[in-house]
Amino acid sequence: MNDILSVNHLSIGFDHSYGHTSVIDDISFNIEKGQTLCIVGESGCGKSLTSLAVMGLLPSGGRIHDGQIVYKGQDISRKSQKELSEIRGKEISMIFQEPMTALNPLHSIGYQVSEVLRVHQKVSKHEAKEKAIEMLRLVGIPSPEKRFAQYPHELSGGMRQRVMIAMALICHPGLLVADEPTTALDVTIQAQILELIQNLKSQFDMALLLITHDLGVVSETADKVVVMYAGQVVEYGDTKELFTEPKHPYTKGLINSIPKMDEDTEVLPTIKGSVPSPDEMPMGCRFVTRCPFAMEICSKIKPPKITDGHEVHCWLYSSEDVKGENPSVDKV
Amino acid sequence: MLIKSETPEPEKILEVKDLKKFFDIKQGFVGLGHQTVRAVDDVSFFVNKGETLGIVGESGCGKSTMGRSILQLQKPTDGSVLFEGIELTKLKNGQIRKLRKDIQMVFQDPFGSLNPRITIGTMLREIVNTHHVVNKTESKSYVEELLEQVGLKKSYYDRYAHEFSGGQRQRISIARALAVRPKLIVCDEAVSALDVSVQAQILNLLQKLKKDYELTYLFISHDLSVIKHVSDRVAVMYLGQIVELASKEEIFEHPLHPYLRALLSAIPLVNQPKRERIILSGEVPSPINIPEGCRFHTRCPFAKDLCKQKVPAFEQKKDGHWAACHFA
Amino acid sequence: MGEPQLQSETVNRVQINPLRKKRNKSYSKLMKNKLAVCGGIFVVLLVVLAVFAPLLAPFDPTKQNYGQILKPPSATHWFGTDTLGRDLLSRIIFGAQVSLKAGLISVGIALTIGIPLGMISGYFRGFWDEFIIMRVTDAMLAFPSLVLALTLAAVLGPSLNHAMIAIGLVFTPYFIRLARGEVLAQREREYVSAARASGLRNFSIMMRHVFPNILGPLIVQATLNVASAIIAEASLSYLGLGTQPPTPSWGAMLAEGQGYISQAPWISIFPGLFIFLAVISINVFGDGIHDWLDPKLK
Repeated sequence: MNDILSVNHLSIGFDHSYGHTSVIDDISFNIEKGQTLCIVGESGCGKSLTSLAVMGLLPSGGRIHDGQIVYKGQDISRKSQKELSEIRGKEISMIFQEPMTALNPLHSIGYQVSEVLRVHQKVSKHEAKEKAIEMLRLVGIPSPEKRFAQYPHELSGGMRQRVMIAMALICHPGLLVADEPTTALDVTIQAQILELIQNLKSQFDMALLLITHDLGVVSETADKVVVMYAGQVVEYGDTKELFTEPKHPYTKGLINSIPKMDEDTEVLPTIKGSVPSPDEMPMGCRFVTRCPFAMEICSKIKPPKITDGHEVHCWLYSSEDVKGENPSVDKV
Repeated sequence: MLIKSETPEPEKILEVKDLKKFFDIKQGFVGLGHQTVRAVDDVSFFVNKGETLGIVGESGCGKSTMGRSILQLQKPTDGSVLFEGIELTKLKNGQIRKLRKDIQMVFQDPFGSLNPRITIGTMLREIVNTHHVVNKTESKSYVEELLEQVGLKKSYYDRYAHEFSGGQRQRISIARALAVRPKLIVCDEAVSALDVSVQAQILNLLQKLKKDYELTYLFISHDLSVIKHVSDRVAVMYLGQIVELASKEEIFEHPLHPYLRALLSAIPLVNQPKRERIILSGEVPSPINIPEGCRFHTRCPFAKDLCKQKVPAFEQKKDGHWAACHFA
Repeated sequence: MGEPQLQSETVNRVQINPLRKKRNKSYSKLMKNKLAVCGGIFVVLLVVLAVFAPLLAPFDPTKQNYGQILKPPSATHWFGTDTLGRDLLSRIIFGAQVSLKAGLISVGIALTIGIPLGMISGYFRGFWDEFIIMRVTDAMLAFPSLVLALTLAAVLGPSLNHAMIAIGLVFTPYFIRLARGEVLAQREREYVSAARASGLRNFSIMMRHVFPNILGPLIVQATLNVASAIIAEASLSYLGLGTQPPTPSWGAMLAEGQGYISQAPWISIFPGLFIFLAVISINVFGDGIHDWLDPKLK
């Protein structure tokens, strides 16, 4: 097995004083060494929560109900916070969407970058500083010796994201988790940052778990992609294949509803309705309320996983005779 | 007599000339020293009746400030804004209020732009009554009709903003703009906060309403693919100025300004072969310290000495295709 | 454009997972509502006490009885008697009149002056805001409030009404500040821009859009100030500038009992207890109103 991370049947829910809501429902995927896997979906689909679970940073009330998160052969989902803090920042690092809030405004960026190193490795202060400067240079921060003493508010959004990346990568982790790292940035800066991440990824030979809502970003960066909807995986597989031959009605709808640069359409195809709220989740397939091909069975029983080239969770592709009729799929 | 009438000269509904909006930032203990942020720095364009002019640019380029200055939500520092021949910058407060019947705005934030304390019915009815759009006795049924037109249910009349999803809230914002039967709607990043599937619904709604009510849109967005989808003509802004303006077909087929070319090459696309990417170096300079010469020269991969010294004129390079670049 | 049609078409076919059935109100929320109701009941009770004092009080609150001086609580005098042999229960019942009046009216004065000034100041900004209103309130806040109230009450002359005006004026700058700050925050919210863009008048934006959104913190502050006002009235009465003896007020009674705290603690304990209960219940009640006004918590 060459997997650096494999998530098996992961379910996450929130406990309340009056019961619990299930947010992530039985998701599985795996990332091989040096690979990029994207989790894509709209807001509220649970993609960020998944990334936080991998980091062991679930928000309060959140609990892993079932499943494992296996990193380099060991299950990290049941580890204590103390054990996790050994792994976080050293083996698995994370960068966030909003670098302004993710950086401490009261410490210089140099301090924050070298602190990560000093926590995880026994290095002298001087050595840490040298390595931090080298790292800042590597992420493309001009004159890092000068920038070392600057504070987050003195930097632009793009520069702050570079600092975040420097912090994340200074211990050479095996896996980088990036939660919408370019969403707050402009396209031209986004292009710079994505290129930087790609370059460092191959340089450090690390795997990347990228969380995004932007299908364009996925298509251009990912090796594999997980499409999530309302806490469930709807489709999972090789990026190229999945994008050229999307199977699930949700994936198809999502791809079609983006305005295209290379063609003109009068009316955009849409997915009707909106995501149901957590307490109105349908029992079977969670997409049933918006699916143009919904059948009787879809609202009752969770769709099976069908692997045909890549993985799709949909009754339309089931070989069982669901209702005595098999609706045409090509129309989507 | 039998001469076929040419397509009539389009009627300009809005004309913006040399518009400037500066902000002063006070500094120091008593506010003696100050710096000027040149958010919108000499912008001129017009919008024809019935068309959609898209304004595209990155954050901080001044596109939103420009939208607000046109509506007189912020008083422009200099320049003129003509709406159907009326000079808006010279109007008194009372007159501006009346004018708001003709020019409306849809805001970006579907959560912040609705008052959390009143029902959407009350909110819409207040606007309808203030402008005497219909008889007071009919205003309730008018508002209900309006809700249906933007794809909501009549029964939502008595609900509060927080009971709606982002997409539904944006429909309410659109209903608010539509309530007074305006001629021009400024959409300021109206779909940017929405998920793609919902964004597509709202874009379709805006297109349908445009046809039904013969609206004119000034559509401000940072998203080139959205701009391309909705616009008839497109203006590209960089650091407070328009750097390129042309019809949609022309500007996307033959972009002239290096900035637009870089933007186009930078958007990640689904299912496209890898393109030659123009990666812009550095970041947008601060609108407090605008570079000498061409404002774009600090990031332009093709910059020459001339660009550092001389400000390029915003001139017609081809028929109907304007750009501000020495070498375009 | 499916949102509206969707519900009718599909939702009836969809089975909602029963495990995830919504339970609207959590336990803590319910508890909070109960507290607010209790507070409200106690406030009403106090008002009833004050209004029907002559009918409810077992004795005349001003009648001195030298045979019954400093008697501890008993069957005849439930709360005991004071230094002049007056029945404390009767005095507390009558005292509710004065104390509630003092608390509510002085805060009422502060609200009526403070909120409009603060809102105008925050909404329009500019010269009035920066140089007049803010400077004046800052100057007033720089004085110790008791000293200011004392001076005002002394200038106006000793009486309960004057004391209330003095207390009201002293509290006004707090409400100006608070209202202004809240308006400044709301003003930046996009819905205010949207209301302006819709062509609504400034007055109606302020009244119908901004005001309801700043009401919450103002109510909380007001209920807290009712408590301070009851105490302030007590201090002024103690110094002879508020309620004139022999009219009972809780504050004055508390002050009287001070010297006898070891021999006859009930003289101060009971008025103190009532001030405490009144303050707490008004506060809890105000909090409840705040929640009740918030459409999100309905």
